[in-house]
Amino acid sequence: VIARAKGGSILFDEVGDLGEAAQGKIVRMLDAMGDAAPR
Amino acid sequence: MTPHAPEMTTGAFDMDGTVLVADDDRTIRTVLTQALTRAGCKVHATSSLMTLMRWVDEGKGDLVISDVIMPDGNGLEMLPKINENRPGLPVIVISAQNTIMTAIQATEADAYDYLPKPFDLPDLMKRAARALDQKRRATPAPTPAEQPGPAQQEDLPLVGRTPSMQALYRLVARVMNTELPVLITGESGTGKSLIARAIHDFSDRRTLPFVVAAPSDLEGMDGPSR
Repeated sequence: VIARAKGGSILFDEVGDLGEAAQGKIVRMLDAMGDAAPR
Repeated sequence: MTPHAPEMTTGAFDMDGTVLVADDDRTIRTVLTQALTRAGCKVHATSSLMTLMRWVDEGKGDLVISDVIMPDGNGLEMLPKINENRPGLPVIVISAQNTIMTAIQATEADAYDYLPKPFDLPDLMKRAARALDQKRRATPAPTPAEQPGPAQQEDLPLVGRTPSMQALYRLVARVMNTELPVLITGESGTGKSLIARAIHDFSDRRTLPFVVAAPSDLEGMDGPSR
């Protein structure tokens, strides 16, 4: 999913339905990708 | 179209500077002239964009408050010329054309601020005071880059002219070209996905992919976080 959005935007739909652990992973993943992360 | 709460007092504002007001509605000109003068400003008001541009070119004014649709032109189309001739001169755009496109076009044209009509006079005065204060301390702003128009008026993804929608349009315009992640909250069915799509479609990323990750796509991410 992230690869498909490269350079563009990604919508994590209904992210509130995910567990806290998964939400944390998403945040850390985006942080780790820095400027290369989709918005 | 008249400002909200015309009876309110503007004595709380202590402002200094010359304000150029351009609006074809005489009531708006009168209200703004009275309020700004009472606050301590010198005001030049006109119903003509040509007159406004002449004043700008002559070096008059520390702040411009301009309508968009004027008898002799479009105020938004004048913004690049104002920015070119008078870098750092703040322009507050007021408009009854209160769609998301106006908010975005005003932002893209480097307007200092945008207020849909009918506007709240104390709110406008507060923004004018801030603009004058920043102008006093500001260095000249760079000339804005040419930006292509992202969509036609009839293709608007978001509709509505209520104050809450206007606030939303302003937010979309502010974040669309930032690198910031945006958290969109709201009840189911209120249009969160539409907002996300609009932010993408109006941004510089509009030609790049927009991907929706449904919860099912992310199921594998559940579990231990470290």
